[in-house]
Amino acid sequence: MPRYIVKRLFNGLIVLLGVITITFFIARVIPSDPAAKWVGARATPEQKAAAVVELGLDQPLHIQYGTYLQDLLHGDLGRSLNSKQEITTELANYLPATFELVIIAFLFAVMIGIPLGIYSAKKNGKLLDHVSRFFSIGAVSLPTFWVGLILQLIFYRMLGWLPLGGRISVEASIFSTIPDITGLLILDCALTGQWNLFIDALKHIILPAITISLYPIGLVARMTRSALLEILNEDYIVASRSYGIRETRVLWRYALKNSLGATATVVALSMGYTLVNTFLTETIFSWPGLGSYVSKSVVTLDLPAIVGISLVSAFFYVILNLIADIIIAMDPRIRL
Amino acid sequence: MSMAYFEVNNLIVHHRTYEGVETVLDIDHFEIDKGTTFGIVGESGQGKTVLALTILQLLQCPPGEIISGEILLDGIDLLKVSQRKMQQQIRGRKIAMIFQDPMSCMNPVFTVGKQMLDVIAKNRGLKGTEALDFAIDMLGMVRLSDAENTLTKYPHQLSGGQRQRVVIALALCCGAEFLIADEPTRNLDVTIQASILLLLKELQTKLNMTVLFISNSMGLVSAFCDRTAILSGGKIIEQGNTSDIILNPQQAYTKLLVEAASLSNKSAPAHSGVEVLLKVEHLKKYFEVSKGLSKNKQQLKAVDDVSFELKKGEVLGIVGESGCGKSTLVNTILSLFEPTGGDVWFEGQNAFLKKKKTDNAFKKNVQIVFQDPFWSLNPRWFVKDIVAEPIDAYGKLKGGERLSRVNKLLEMVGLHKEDAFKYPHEFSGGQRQRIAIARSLASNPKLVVLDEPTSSIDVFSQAQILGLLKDLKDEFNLTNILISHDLGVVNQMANKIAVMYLGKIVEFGPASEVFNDPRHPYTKALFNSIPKIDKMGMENIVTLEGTIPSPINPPSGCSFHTRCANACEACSEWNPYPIYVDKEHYVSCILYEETKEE
Amino acid sequence: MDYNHKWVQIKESLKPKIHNFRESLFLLGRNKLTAAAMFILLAIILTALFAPYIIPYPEHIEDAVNMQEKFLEPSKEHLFGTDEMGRDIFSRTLYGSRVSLKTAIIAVALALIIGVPLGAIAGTIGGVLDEVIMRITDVFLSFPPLLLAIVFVSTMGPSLNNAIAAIALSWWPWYTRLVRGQAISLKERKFVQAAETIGTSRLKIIMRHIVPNTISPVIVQASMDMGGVILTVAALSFLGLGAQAPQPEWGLMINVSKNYFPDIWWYSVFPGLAIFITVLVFNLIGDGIREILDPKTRKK
Repeated sequence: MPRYIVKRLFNGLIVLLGVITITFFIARVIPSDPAAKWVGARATPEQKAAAVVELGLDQPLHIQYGTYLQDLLHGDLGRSLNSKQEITTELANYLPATFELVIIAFLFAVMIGIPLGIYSAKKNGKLLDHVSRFFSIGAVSLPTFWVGLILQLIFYRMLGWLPLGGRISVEASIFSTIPDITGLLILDCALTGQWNLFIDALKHIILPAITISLYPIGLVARMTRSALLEILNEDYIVASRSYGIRETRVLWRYALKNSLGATATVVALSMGYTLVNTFLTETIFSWPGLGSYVSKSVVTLDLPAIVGISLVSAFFYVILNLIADIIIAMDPRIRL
Repeated sequence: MSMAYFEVNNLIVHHRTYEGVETVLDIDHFEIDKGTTFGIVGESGQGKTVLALTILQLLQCPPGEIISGEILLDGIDLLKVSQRKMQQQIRGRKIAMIFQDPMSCMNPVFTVGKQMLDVIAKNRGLKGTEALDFAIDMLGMVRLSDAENTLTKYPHQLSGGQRQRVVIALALCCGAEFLIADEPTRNLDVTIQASILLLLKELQTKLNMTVLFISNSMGLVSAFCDRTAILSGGKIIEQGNTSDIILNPQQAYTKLLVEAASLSNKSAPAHSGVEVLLKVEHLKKYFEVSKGLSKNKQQLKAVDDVSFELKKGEVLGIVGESGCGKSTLVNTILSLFEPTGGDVWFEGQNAFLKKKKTDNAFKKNVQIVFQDPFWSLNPRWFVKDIVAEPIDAYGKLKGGERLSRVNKLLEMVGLHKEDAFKYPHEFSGGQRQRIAIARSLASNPKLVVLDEPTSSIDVFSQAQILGLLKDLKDEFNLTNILISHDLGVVNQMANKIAVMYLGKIVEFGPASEVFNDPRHPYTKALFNSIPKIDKMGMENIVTLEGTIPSPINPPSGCSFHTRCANACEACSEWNPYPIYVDKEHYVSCILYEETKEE
Repeated sequence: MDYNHKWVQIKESLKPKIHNFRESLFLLGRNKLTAAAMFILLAIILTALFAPYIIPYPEHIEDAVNMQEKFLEPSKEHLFGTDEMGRDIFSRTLYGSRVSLKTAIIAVALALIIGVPLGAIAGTIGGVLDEVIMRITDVFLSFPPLLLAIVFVSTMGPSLNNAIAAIALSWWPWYTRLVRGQAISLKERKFVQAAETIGTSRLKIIMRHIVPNTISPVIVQASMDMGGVILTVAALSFLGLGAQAPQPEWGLMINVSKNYFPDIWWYSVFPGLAIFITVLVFNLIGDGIREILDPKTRKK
């Protein structure tokens, strides 16, 4: 088993290297004139030439690649063409807010999606199954950014219950100190016992959280259902019943363990999609996370920033897949 | 009137699909007395497993539908018992089941021990060390050595025979008096089958169990069961004492089943031809296998120094159990595999010279008919394209000419012109096999290999297909290599027989000689493991101890010595060489001379 | 029947195929939900095909500017209201179906053309070629498709056509992996071994034996991907990377509308609804196709 983990890690590294190389070449090879962006529209030719040297763009391509790799190993993702700030710093600033949403989506996917899928499989063919299938398929058909808008329409515009956007209300940010321990606002408020702030932050996070959770819940529920259905038709399940084992035990102890691999894979997969959907949702809810950073960078074609974000996302995704692979490898049939 | 222990009356079960309703079971009546064995014989798809599942109320409804009937066990109508009560009181406690395929009926992600302990906890109420001891006892009862170790293993880590024993042990753990055995030896080798049968009989007598034994073979039933019912199309067409049915079958179907199970004494006559078509010389095929991630490559000796000659017009039957290498041998001869050593000469030419011209010539002349009539035909192709594939490979005929050749081939195998534009799934197993045979003849081959041609088709079609193969052979003067585990089939067609064990030929000779007087200890054991329908009961079944060794690590010297009753020390040191009984018959056993009775 | 006649042969070959198709439609239609979805899809396709002729304000599709009529609420004349240029949103939404369907079909087709042959070759031939193809595929698969598409379009320059290309480039690896897995198990099938014994060429084996038998899962995947592609294009346009103004693309419309949200709510709601319904319909049909093609859920 440890050997397997090492092998997969190695694989993951190769994949990351490939990702880095691709993004590097895309970013460098197409004509987009980063130097011009760096110095702005009104720069003189000398300033621009200086920028070219400063950005290292006068070096041959393979040297640029080498420098890039070296920088990466030191955790240096370069500087944003827009803000001139170090990309790593900017990412660190924006990351916690996004992370908060993604974690909630993950929790919802697992705690709502999986039971929903199990329930659906149990009641296969009956009306409740059809209804929940419809909801699952509906959930993955919704454009995330649109859902956010609709929720705002209903809960802000029409009902007035919840705020339009942001992480915390303006008054709160003026009149109280916002705790910053983990960067996860809800958690921090709870940890420091500031319950007013907690409620406030909660009100702000509900809508974006629901918006991005719908897709993973739907996906996980669907895949769990089909994996479980397949397993419940297997001979060994019938055999267990023939020995007189209770139905609940058959389902929860036997069938579920067999479906672990498939479920882990789909959760990892859905998180990949969720990350990107989060970027979109953040623009709607003015959520100060990576999503805002992404839209800013995309609109201004700030390639180093885009590349930096992609790398971080790919890294996250590779780790997730690695964890899923490990769970799959716990299947004794794969014992090597 | 005394009530029988187990009784089924007026049972009608339907299968409902969008296409309509199909009657799967329509049983008037049968009953089983306590402590006896009752056999149900029928072919695949005739409803046997449906019956077993219905008894336990485990049938999937929908699409199944139990229309009417009663199933009485000790006076209780099982069909009227609620699912809850079935689970609590009946399943396991009163009735236990042994499933067909031991690999698929055990949960692959749980150890044997865990699965057994669960069953013991539910049915015997034991926990902890008590349960563990009990499990070990049960494994002992099914004669599994090294019980503690087995408990920690996963199903895929056990051999086929071991798995089947574990499944029987699981059924024993339930403690039921009534056992349903659904084709318990289906996928097992003949020698292992014999030992499982003996084990079941022993347990049945010892524990005074009532057994409902489901099978597709009259042979097995003749050995095991006191009474038998024949199931055809969901109906019982004949039932009675096993001996009566075998000696005096009434229905046509029953007669066919009995005939298929009896080994006739008439083997095919020796062949008189002289011209050698195929010569195999010291053929070796080793595979490199690496265990897991370790760098050690080990060799799997699938075919280990095989030599024989095949004359034009002859039929060579190759028999042996799984892992003996017969499939690999044939695949290597067909040049699907590159040989590790040795030569194959076809019509005087070396078949492995990688020249395109000789390669093509060879392939045109050597064709194969596979065992599986479904997957050996591309399900998405028209029959005409399937049959014409050999013609297309050499690009000679087009359009109308191609079609008329296809039509001719179809007629040769007893099909019709209109079948050319159909898909394989529109045909029955026997008909699909005919299509495969037509395809094998399309390039006018000289040698046709038949790999278990009748194993996967129903007994009606078996006889017809065999007849067809014989006729075609005569008409086109074909040479055949026939692989089969069914000695009856081999007996009917083969002039010569090769018995293989662990990649080597242990006995080779004219069919009549080998059949009637086997010389090699393994051949004797093989033939004696099969229940003979004319000698009913278990007494005549001889089991072979031990299991087939792994071809990665074959025993030293004679590969059979680990299981041979006659083995002596020399057997583990010396490689056996062919000792000739007469010109065409040899035995690979160093002890042969000494045990020669004549 | 004179089988030698070419037309007879062709007709006979087609008969079973037509029969299969009709049977599939029938099977699909048995599930009420799928049947409803098929009807709606038909309606969407017809709308897309005949959009220029049926929409009430064909001149509003791209360039019209009608500032007095801007931001009108939904009414009888303007079912979905008007946008910031006074254009009828209903017409633009209906026309948008044309854009979305076109992009979905082209993107998925491109992804198939690249992905399926690569997967078939990798799976059948194996060895080093397989390793190389799979490593490349793995790299692509390690990105969520939307992210990859964002990167591609950012570098290629934002436009609808570039978005289509970017999506095709992000999506093909999924088909490669799918087909490769199928090819590996198909290789073991007896009819492939029979073809080898017969002497059929490797190329022919891949093209005529392996690929046709991978069609079922590919069709299921592709029909569900149609929905996914439409969502991705909309997301790209929402980010400003896909369709550019004044194209009548649903995602772009939402992008523009968010600036006036929530007052001019109709501008966001209706195009989004169109996306949702279209994607939902594709997903339902894809799910229905999967149910009938999956051998386990069919008649046992």
